[in-house]
Amino acid sequence: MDTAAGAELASHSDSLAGEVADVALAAAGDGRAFERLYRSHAARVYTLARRMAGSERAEELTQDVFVRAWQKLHTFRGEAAFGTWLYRLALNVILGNRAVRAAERGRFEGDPDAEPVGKQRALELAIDFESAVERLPKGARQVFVLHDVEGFTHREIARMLGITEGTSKAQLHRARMMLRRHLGS
Amino acid sequence: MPDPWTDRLSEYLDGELSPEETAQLERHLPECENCRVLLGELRAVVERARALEASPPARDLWPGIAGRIGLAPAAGAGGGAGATRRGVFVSLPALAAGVAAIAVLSGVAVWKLAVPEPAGRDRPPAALVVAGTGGEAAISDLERILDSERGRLDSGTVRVLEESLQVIDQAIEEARRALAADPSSLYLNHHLAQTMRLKMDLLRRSVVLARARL
Repeated sequence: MDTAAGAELASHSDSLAGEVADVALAAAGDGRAFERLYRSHAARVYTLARRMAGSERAEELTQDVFVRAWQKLHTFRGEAAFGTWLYRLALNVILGNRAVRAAERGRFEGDPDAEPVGKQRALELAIDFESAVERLPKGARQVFVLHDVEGFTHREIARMLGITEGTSKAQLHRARMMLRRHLGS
Repeated sequence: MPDPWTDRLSEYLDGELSPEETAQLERHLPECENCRVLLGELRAVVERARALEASPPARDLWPGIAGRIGLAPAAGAGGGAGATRRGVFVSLPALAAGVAAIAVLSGVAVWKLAVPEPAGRDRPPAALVVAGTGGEAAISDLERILDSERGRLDSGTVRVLEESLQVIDQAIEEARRALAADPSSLYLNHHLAQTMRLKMDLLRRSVVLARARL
C-alpha cells in the first residue's frame, strides 16, 4: 500500500469509525451525534425524497425520515452500514407516506400513454434533466428513480411499490421515452 | 403501422429480452434507423440518470427535526451542551454495548487488513498516530479516577462497563499485534488510535456518571 493510498484508507476508516461511534452515541441519546449523522446524510435522503415525491413534499419527508431514524436507532444492529440502513428506512417512509400513496393511486395500472405529456412540451424543453425527472408522472418517476438512479431491479421495485414486474418495465420505458426530450438541456 | 420493437428497446438495453428476442432485434436494428436513433437516446438517458448527484435541501432542516424529537435546536454541527434526550444513567449501558460492538467489528477489520505489504515500497513514518494521541496517558488517568469512584455506580452498570472494557481492550490488543507485524501501516495506526478514543469516551462518561451520583 503506498503512502497516498494508505492515507486515503486511513481517512476513510476514520470517517467510518467516527460515524459508527456517532451511531452508538446517538442510540444512547446523544443529540449532537445524531445531528452529525443528519448533516452527513441529509443531502442523499432529501434528494431521494425530492425525486420520489416531488419538491413540495421533500423537506417534510426528509424530516420524517430523520425523526423515524431517531426513534428506530435502537434497532440498528450494524449488519449493514448506517447509510444503507437509513436509506432503506427513508424508502419505507417515503413510500409509506399517506399523501404520496394517495397521489400514486390509479397511476400505475392505467394506459402508459394516457398521460398528457405533449401539451407542455415546449416549456419542458427549457427545463433541465433533473427537473424533468421531477415532472414525470409519479408512477413513471418512481420506477425510473428506483431503477435507473438507485439501481434496484424490477423484481425489487415491484415488491416495494406493489405492482407487477411488467408494469415496472412499462413505466420505466415510458419514463425514458419522456426524458430523452430533455437530453440536450 | 407502429414498430413493434419500439416498446422493447428499454428491455433490450437492460438485457431483459430472451436470447431469441435479442437476436431478432439485433437483426432488425441495422435495417431501422428510427430504432437505432431511439436506442441511442434511451442509452443516453440511462447514462444521465447514473450521473445524477445528490443535492442538499435549500434550507437547514435540522431545527425542525430537533424540535420534533425533543432536542433543543443546536447552534451548529457540534450542537449545544446538554443536547441529549436521556440521562447518563440510562445511556451508559447502551453506549458501552455500542462501543464494544464497534471494537469487535473493528478488530475483525484489523485482522483482515493486517496483511504484509510488498517489500521495497516507500513507507510512512512508523506509528506516528498512536504516538501523537497521548491516548495511553489519558486512558491511564481515567482508569485511575474510575477505579476510585466506581463504588458510586450500581452493580449492573459496573458489570456492563467491565464487560465492554474487556472487549475494547481485546480489540486494542489485536490492533497492537497487527501493528507489530506491520508497524508502518497508517491504517492500523489510525485504527488503534480510534479504538483508544472510543475507550476514552466510555471511561469519560463513566466518570461523569459516577460523579453525578455524589
